Amino acid sequence: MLVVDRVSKSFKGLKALDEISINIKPGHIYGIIGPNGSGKTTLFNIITGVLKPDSGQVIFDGRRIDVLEPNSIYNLGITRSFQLPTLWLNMSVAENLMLPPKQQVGENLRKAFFKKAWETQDMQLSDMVWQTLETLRLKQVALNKSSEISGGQMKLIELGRTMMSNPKLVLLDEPTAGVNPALALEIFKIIKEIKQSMGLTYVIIEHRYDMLFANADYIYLLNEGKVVSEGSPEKVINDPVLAEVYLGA
Amino acid sequence: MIEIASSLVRALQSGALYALMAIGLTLTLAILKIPNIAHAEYVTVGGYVSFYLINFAGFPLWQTVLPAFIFSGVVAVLSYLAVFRPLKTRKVSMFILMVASFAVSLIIRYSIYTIVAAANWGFGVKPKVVTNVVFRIAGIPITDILLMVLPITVVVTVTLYLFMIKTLQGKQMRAVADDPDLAVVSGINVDNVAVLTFFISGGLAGLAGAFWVVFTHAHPDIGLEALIRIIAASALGGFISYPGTLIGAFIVTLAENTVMDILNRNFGLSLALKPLMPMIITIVILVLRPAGITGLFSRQPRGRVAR
Amino acid sequence: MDFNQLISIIVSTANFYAIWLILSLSLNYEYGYTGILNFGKVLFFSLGAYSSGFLAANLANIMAGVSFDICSVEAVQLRLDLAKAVPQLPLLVFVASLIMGAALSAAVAYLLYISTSRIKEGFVLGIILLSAGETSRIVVRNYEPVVCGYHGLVGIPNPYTAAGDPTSASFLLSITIWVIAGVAFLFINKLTATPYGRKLKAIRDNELAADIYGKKPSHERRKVLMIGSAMAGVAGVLYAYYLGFVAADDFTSLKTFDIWVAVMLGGVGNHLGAVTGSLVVTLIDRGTRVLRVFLANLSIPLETLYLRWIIVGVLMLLILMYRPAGIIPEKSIKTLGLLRIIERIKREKT
Ligand SMILES: Nc1ncnc2c1ncn2[C@@H]1O[C@H](COP(=O)(O)OP(=O)(O)O)[C@@H](O)[C@H]1O
Ligand SMILES: [Mg+2]
Repeated sequence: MLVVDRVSKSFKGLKALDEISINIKPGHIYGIIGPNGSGKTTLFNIITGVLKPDSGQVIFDGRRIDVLEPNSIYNLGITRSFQLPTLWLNMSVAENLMLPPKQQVGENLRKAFFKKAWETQDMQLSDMVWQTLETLRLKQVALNKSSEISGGQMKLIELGRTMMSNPKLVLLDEPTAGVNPALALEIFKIIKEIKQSMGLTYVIIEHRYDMLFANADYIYLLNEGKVVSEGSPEKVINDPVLAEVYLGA
Repeated sequence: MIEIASSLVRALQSGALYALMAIGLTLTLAILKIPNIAHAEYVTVGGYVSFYLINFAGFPLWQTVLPAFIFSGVVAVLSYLAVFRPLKTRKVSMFILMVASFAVSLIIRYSIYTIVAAANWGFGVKPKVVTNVVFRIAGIPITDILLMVLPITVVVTVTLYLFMIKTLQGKQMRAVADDPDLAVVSGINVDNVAVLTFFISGGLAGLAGAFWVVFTHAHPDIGLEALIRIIAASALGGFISYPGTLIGAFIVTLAENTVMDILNRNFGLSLALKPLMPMIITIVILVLRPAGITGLFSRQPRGRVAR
Repeated sequence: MDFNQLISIIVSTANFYAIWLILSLSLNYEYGYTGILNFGKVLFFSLGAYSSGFLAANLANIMAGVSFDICSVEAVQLRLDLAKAVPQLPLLVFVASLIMGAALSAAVAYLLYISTSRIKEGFVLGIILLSAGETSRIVVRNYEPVVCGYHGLVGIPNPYTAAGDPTSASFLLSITIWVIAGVAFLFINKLTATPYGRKLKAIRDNELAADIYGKKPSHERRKVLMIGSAMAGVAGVLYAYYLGFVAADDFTSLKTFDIWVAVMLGGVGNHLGAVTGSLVVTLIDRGTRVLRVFLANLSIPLETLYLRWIIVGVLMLLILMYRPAGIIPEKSIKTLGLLRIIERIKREKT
């Protein structure tokens, strides 16, 4: 489904990604772990087109996507959340959730003039938004400006936006950072449910290893821009490299 | 031939002054991320300091350079303290800073208008400076003003360059330019850096203005009229590069004067179209080499990055 | 001051207001909704005005089969005579000017936009637009073939010369100006009270997130700048026909600043804000001119035209520092879907 093929990326001589290769197959949950600065977020930035790789390529469903703009990649079916909430801060929570769905007729410059052409669709969207708000327990802040809610709630909107985008592949950058443990558990439950019901594929960067290892099918361990260990959660947990990486030995 | 050569010499002279004017715009942008349109007004301020000292206090031109530098520098620092600093503490966007600088530029320019009108200095008066031809090289006249402008420009730009590279303050300025957040945690007083940057930027613009007013005339709009060349020079430097801005200023003046002179002589192109040149060059550079003419050496790609 | 004088002051203020309103609405669409830093508003405004002067002058020459210098006295006389002889002509030229003004402005906007489209920082486009506006003014002031350089081009005939007497003609022109401003208001409102408007605000608020969620920031901005500039071009045509003459020096970046004050003062991202803000700015502008005559009569040596810009500059800074949301703060775009959510929440609370 998604193949990252020997991708490198440097910032001012610092190698953030070093000939990294990963292979994502449909219908699974992948976990990406690694110490701070190991290149996890940079990897997401490359896959979603925010950054262009220095070398290597990214292939999604047989198509080279590293030459595309983020919006085209999104329309092919990849959605992502951000580690630091990147919301539309002057808009309400509900509006933040109304924006992601694709092919909104009313977003078209010419068709916007004809209310009839888009109002039904807009109503249907609002039902979806309502469901998402319920799932994420955000109803009480739905009409607040998204700049005026707590950091944990912002992370939930990050997740909610990916739920609204009807994707094939979802990349989540630390979805539970700043969220309380009970809700974090809940988030993983939701992810699993969506995966089962809609057959989505997830790649999750996460620091709560207990939860990640309990839910993921496959783990990549990154260090200094390279994959240093990969395999089933049990395999990576027991890999001596894991301790090495974290103890900096 | 001789006309073209003297046109080249004139371009060299204006190029040097535009370079001094444009450096400040680039510095405030690169270091403080403030697109300060009001920068052009510091040129006017320096011009009027020089004009006043020459016409009303009998100073020779060269003695007005330092006062013009200091006065414009102080005005620039005041605009930072009164406007940009309070806005920065409110964490406004770069756009808002630019809108604010637009307001600052009007406030400065029309304060000058008001003062000039009230003091009855007259608009468009020439400073009382006599330009002498000191000698000729192959028939090309070399004036005493040129002999002042060129060395001063060279000394000032080289000194500033060394200052940025060698001294602690210079290093701090570059650290703030690279990453303001990192600079703060490294214990650099960003506020001091900002004040220094504004003083130097405004000062250089004022210094250039002191000479500029002699070539043009004393009018509150002289800075505004220079603005399109200042912007072009800075754009050629990608808005971040010091050497790029310097070279850019000379390219702009060469194109606007010498190239247009040649086009006028040989193809009858109207000289009224001269001011189009800086714009055309800017656009060509932005299209071909968005990071500026020194983009080849630039350290980081431009653009947004997600964390 | 007699009654007729008062009426004429009110009508002329209303005309200026309508023109300022079109400009403010377009800037609000560009900056308030889409986050485009258009510091070259006056450029597009002036292109409309130049188009009017240029067309009126050159078409008259062509119609009469002469090749007068468009700035000469003969040419001015010819334009006015021709308007009387063929009274429908000015209206046709007016319509042609509207089309050319809008199209030319949109085309220039397109070129300037794509020339910076490889650069992500939005301020660069702002600086380039500012510079383009100043450049065009300086060039047109010195280059006579466009609109007679420094002296400006006089004798743009009233489009309604066919109406007979000048009073009804100028009244009809005023009505036209107001109607076009009204249409602009309805157009912009209808266009932006939609998911399209929401998308623009997403691009403004966070371009990266908008891009990641499938909106096309650069593409949309380009279109918005072109539409906004076309509107400014139309405003410029109205301005030129209302004054009956065009001069480059009328189109300094001060005009741009006025429109920015109107938008920031009224409230960004909010068309009622533009309506309010441009009213305040029009009143300040007209007011200082009246005050100036008044002070001169009392021989008080205070130049209000200078003071006005200092005051407006300070006003802008005060808005930015103490009331960034403006007089009428921005509201959510209440599409039917959002209304439904609001309703549901109300219902749950009770
Ligand atoms: N835009 C950027 N500019 C410069 N350096 C960056 C940028 N983004 C990431 N880096 C650097 O690249 C390395 C990897 O960063 P990142 O991918 O964010 O790590 P992680 O998400 O694993 O914590 C870090 O050293 C970081 O400082
Ligand atoms: Mg990260």
